[in-house]
Amino acid sequence: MTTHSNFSRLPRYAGRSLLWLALLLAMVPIVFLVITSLKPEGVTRTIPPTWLFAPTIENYSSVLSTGAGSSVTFGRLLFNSAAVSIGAVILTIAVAVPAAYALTLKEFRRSKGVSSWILSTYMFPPIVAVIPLFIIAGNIGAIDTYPVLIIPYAAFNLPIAIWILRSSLESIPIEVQEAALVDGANRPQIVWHILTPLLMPAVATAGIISLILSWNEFLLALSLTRAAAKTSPVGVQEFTGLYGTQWGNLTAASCMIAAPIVVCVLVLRRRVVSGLAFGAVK
Amino acid sequence: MAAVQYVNASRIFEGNQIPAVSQLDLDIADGEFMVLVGPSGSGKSTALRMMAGLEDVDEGEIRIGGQDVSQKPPKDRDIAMVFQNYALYPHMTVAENMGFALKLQRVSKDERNAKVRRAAELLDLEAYLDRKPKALSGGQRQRVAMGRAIVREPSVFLMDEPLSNLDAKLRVETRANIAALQARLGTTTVYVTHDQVEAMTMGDRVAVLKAGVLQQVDAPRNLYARPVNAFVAGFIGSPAMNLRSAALTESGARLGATVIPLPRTTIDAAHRANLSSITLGIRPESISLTSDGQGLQLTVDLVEELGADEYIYGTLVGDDPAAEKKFVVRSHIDPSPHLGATVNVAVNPSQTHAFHPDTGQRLD
Repeated sequence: MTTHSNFSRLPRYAGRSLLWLALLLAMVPIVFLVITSLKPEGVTRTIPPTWLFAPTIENYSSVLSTGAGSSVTFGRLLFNSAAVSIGAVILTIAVAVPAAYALTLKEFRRSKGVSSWILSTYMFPPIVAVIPLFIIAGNIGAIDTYPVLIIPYAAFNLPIAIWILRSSLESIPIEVQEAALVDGANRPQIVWHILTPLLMPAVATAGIISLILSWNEFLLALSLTRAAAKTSPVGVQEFTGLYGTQWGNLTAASCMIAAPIVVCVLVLRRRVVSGLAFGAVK
Repeated sequence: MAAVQYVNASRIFEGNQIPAVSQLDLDIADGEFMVLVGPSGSGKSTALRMMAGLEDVDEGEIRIGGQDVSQKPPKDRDIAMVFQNYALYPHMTVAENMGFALKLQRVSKDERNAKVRRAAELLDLEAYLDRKPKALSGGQRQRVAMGRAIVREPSVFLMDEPLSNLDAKLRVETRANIAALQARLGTTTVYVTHDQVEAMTMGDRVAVLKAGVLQQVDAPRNLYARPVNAFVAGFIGSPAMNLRSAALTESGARLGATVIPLPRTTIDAAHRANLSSITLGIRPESISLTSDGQGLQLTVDLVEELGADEYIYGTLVGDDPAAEKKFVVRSHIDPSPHLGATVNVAVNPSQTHAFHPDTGQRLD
């Protein structure tokens, strides 16, 4: 084993220490959140914060069973979030796969222009769409339903999903499709039997990105839902009411909102990183 | 089984003036092994893809079994194709790859499995049926690609340089296997390659293409013995034929310090075309080293030892100094000449070729 001078090791150790420090700093709010959610209500407001206490799950049970005092329990809100997010992901993927395929066809003359236009819609600020969507939804009686969130979520997620899928499609050699044509497949059969299985990694990437964006979305959910389709990010701000903030319930609700996404991201973390880096590289 | 025809077929890519394939007229008999050969850009792959339905036919027709299929999609042409990079479906096993076309035709599972198994036996792939392409070697993948084509029992096999991704030794072995397989199955085959050795060894007939235009189509032996122009003469045969500008004399053509005798018919044809010089073609194997002082003299620049033969590259004494290519002679003499030495060579006069110096056409 060769010896290195201490000097050459220093930058590496310093870099690692900085990373650990940054990680710990980032974790502080999250740790505080989890700890606060386990405190009984009286202990939550003390300054300086109490670190020694008897942990309780009463916040979680109270949030799930009664919610923030409105007619809807938080458990129901979590269910709505899940329904809307999963619905948006399914719609996004169902539209993005054929769209991405169409953009790769060489017969599609304007495909470059159309792709650029699709990507540009990603820069569209959702807040601009709120009022028109509210008016349209009001006219067709769709306020406070699942579709009124699912469809706009899918629309806002489509550009990045199409971009990810199209890039993955372009990496599949064209001869594989030609071989399928010669074997007797028509275009839908090529998409279903050949391309979709090969696109699964990209579908997972686009899917998890869409899921995160839809789950955390607040503005449209706040504007377009009332009670029946209300999602959990909207629900959690109701814990701040006339009589002050119920910190225990609030933090418990926040943990429950964050938990499913944290689990998904941990399972699919490689896909998330590639999806997030996507816009930077391509 | 079907006869296949290109009837004045052309393909012009958008934005290009020059056609990629220009008025190709080629009749391929039922059961024949036809090889399309030519340098890069000659249009051979494009012509094959036109037959497959993967390229449009801008002019003329493609006929399979007498029927015009120019407007039909690939799946209605009863063809099977082997691609240069195999184009196997990466997510399917070997068995699934081979059975995919049958699955699309809704063939029953039992019949499908039986056909796949038969093709796998023919190609020695039984042990690999459950593997995915990434777990196979290049040669195995190539056999799976062939198996995928065989299982379909089509009227025509189309093969686009299937051996070019294999190493040299495997290539020699596999080309014999492909030729044997085709003879056994009797299916009409159109085979594209840039390798003239493959063309000569595998084809019943060989079609030589250059810049989209068919130069000559004939049995390999005839292409070798009577090339119809200087391009075919220089393309077929390895090392390439020596082509030199030679001034006409009464009885032949002057090369270096000697006159190579030419047949009367050739001289007459040259006179009819008002030529004072011709392009003389002599294959390396038609020249030998001699000991007598007469004949051509060659200054040796390079000797290639191949074991059984050696090829001597040199400059003819008295040759046109602007000639780009070296003069090549095949010899068996041991020991081989030293570099820089001057040797005497004799040309076999019955094995010379004469071409028009401008058009390149054969003079006869």
